[in-house]
Amino acid sequence: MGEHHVFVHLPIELFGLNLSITNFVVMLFVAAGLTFLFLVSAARAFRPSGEGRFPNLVEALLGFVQENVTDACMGHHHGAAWFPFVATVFFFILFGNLIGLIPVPGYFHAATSNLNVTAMMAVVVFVIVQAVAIKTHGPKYYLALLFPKSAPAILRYTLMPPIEFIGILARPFSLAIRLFANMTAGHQIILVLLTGDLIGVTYLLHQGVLVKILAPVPLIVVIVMDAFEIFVAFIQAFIFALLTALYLSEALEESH
Amino acid sequence: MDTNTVAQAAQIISTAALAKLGAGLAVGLGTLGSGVGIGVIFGKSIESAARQPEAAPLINRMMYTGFALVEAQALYALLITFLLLAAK
Repeated sequence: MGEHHVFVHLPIELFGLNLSITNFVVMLFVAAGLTFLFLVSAARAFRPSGEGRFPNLVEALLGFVQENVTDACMGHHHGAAWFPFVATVFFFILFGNLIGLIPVPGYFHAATSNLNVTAMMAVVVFVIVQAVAIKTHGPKYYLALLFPKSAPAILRYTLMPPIEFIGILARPFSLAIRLFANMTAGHQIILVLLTGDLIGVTYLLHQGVLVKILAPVPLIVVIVMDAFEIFVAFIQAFIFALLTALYLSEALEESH
Repeated sequence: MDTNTVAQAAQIISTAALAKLGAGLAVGLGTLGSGVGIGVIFGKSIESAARQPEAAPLINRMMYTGFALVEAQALYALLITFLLLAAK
């Protein structure tokens, strides 16, 4: 799985941690820079009369996020307060996914195809959700969570706490791994099909002319997989933002 | 099975070979459940959208949400496959 070689551009070693600027870090900078440029330039070009194609595009995307992610999960009041955070998560992950589709061989890859990046996003979301929960309900939030009232008293103190604990911990894990695996899997399939590493493909190409006609088939499949990868990039960004809004709404709800 | 034969076979078959076998099994068995799940999700969504076309945008959105969550399960298995393929 390691066809991405690490090119160290600027070795930095701080407090025993390796903080060098590698090509992975450059990809992160590109994703963050694109997010910033995309949103800020749209905000600058925004006209109340509604003209301009680019502000309209960004407004459509932001409206999509607000309508389907924040308002659907958190209601209008909390949704308006948390919309900037959820929208930033959405756009950062979207651009992190999309830059993996630009074919600069050996250098460009999806910023989110790195487990460290997705784990970082998942941990950020997890910490913020816990902080919001503690701020809303106080530390007794964990009492109500680990010992749920909806379970019979026999189970409530023996079996439910470990299950609930694992359930809480499983959320950042699943967020990180879902995004990472979705981004890596598609690119692996494209890579394997393109490099002809498939035993069947190279064997077919050595046969007669009739079989050589089948040679463009992997290329067509790669094109279709590329289109599917764009779809997956949008869906995964949407899912991450949706789950973030969902966990936030669970932490914010008053009826515990 | 004779335990002696199994022990001898285990010494001959390398861990790398077993890892590749496990990799194939992992993704093969893992996509079974995900395939069933995706079929159920899309089938039910199409059915309910046909029963009530006004709710189609809402159903569409929930369908894609469910699809991504179910797809993730198959990709957990694929992750194990990658980990096993990298074993030596």
